[in-house]
Amino acid sequence: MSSFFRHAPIRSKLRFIILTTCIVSLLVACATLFAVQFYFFRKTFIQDMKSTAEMIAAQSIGAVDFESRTVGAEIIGTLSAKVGITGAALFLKTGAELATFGRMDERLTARIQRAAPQQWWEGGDLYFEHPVIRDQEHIGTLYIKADYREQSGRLVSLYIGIFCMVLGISVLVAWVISIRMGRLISTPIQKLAETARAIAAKDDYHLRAEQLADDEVGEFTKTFNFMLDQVEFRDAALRHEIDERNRAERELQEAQAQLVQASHQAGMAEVATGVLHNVGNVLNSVNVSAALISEKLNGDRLEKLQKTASMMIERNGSLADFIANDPKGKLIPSYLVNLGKHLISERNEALTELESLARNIEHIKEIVSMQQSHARVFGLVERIKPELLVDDAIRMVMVSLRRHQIELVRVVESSRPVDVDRHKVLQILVNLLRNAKHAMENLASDIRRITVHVACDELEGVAITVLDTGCGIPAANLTKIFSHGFTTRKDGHGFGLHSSALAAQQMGGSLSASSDGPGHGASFVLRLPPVNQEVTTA
Amino acid sequence: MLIHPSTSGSRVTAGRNRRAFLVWTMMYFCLAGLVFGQDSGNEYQKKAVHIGKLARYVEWPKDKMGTGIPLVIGVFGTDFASDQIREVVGRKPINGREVVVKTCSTIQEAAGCHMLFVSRSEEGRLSAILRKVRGEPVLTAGECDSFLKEGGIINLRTFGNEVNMEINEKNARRSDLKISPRLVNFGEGGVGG
Repeated sequence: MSSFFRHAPIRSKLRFIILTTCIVSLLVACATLFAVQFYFFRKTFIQDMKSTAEMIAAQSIGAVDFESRTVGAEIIGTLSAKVGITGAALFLKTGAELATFGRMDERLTARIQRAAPQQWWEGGDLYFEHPVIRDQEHIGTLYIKADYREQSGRLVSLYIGIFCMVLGISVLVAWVISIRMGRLISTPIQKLAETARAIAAKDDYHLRAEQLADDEVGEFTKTFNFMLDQVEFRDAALRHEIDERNRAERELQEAQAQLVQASHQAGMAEVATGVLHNVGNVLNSVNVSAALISEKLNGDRLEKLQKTASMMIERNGSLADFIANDPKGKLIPSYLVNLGKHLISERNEALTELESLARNIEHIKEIVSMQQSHARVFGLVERIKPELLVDDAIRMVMVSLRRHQIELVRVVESSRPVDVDRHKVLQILVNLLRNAKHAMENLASDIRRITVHVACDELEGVAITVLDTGCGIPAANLTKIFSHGFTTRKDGHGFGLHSSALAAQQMGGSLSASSDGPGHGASFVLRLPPVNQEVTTA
Repeated sequence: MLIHPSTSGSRVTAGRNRRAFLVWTMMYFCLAGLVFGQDSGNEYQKKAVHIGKLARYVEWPKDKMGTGIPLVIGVFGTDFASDQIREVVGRKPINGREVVVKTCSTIQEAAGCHMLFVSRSEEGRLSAILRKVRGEPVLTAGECDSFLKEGGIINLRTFGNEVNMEINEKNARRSDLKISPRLVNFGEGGVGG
């Protein structure tokens, strides 16, 4: 019921309210009116019967006194014409019945001695008892029986009929009024709802609801139209703002494209910087190897050999004598032997340097190819023992370390293979070793020492620690040293540790630094994930 | 029971039957007279009661019914009727007045009575009696059929065991008497008295 009422149109609700109010009001009014009517009817009925009994008793004095049955019957017989009275009886004082009309209770004779008027109810019948008194002498008794139930029933039927008629007429009138009045109330609301629906359907905020009255609905319509004005204004402002935003967005996209371009270029520059840095690191070793080879090749041994050969050609024919007797000739054989030894030694050293040179060149190649793979493909992950990576890194910087008279200590406490990109680890380790070398440039040569420590843990993987006795790192810089561009060296570019930390993260590991402060050295720990751990490479 | 004489019986038997017939006839008349006398006594007793009660419903002119004046009831007719009325009415006062019942033999005796009862036996001189008291404040009561037509006021007639009363209020007014409205239902020709 409440759900139906909730979803019913306002006109139906108004009609329902009006009709319900009308019916309830009528019910209450009629119930009250009928209750009052019944109260007065009952009171009047009793009073009327009492008066009738009193009057008939007075009229019956003569009949009772003279014991005239005929006159007594005539007197109470007149009661038959009175509505509601269904019986009457006259008794003499002796109890003898003088006259009767209708059906009376036989037990009435037991009450005859009463001298005062009485009344009582039996079922729906009202009994009256009135003494017949002549000159203050009780000479007889009159009884009247009235059918109150029938009378009240008639009244009820009459009232029900009246109520139904009134209710029908009232409902009809209320229905007509509700239709006419309902239109006055519901039409503005319907107009308002139709306008709202039209606005919602067409998204047209130019529409306005028609104000049909100056009542609350009219006020609401006015407010609704005012709100529409505001909505329209804000809609226009919003559309303008959207246009502005679209324009700004387009500009932003253009700017973003430009920025992407610039960023790409910057990234290319950063890549180039990284490549140059790493290649530069390796090129140092290449330079050293090349210098050493050049130094070996630039000796005067070949010239001396050529001079010796020319001398022997000049002594052609007397070469044996020359070798045997000439003091210079005597030196030639031993010279040639020593020269051969030197040449062999130099060849071996040159070969070693060439191998180092080849490895460095290969490393440069890998650096370049790795930077290319940055842009296109993932790096190659291979399972390798960390101490071998440490050895390769040490080898790459060993010459430089020797030149700077730096002691290098390699400690492998425990080890297990790791799945890493070899060249990234080498870049990191070479970076760390070179940074350690630079940190000890201003120290006395006897305390220049780098310790490379390898340890492994089942859960945390492998930790490679590069510990130096260098200048140390101020606490304030510990959080900044991995930032791009941060450096404490005059010729540094702040890229090495930044790229190393990124490379460690890409492999699923980490790079951390610690120092007890300036002058107390520093340690860098490269943690590589255990074998089964997922490795992220890029 | 009737016994008829036999035409073929012996003379002895016929004599017995005659004697039995006489005995039964005598017994019949004795019983009839006894019963009749009893009925007549009841009738006049009731009428006496009515006459006594009627005095309570009638108002006489004050100049004729002064304070302390006894209520005089005259009776025309048999002594039996007078005795019955005297027996019933004369014992106690009515409306505080002493009651005097006198038997009237001459018409002149009707003067001075407040109430006058004319029995059936006086039907022959009823007109003369009523003429005598006409216009006088005398409440006349009778029992003849023509009593009211002759100018009487109240007629007491017997039907079965009941005494009915008829009142001619017009004659009462002519006699300057006021009949109580409580007796209006006893009007002449209406309900019968």
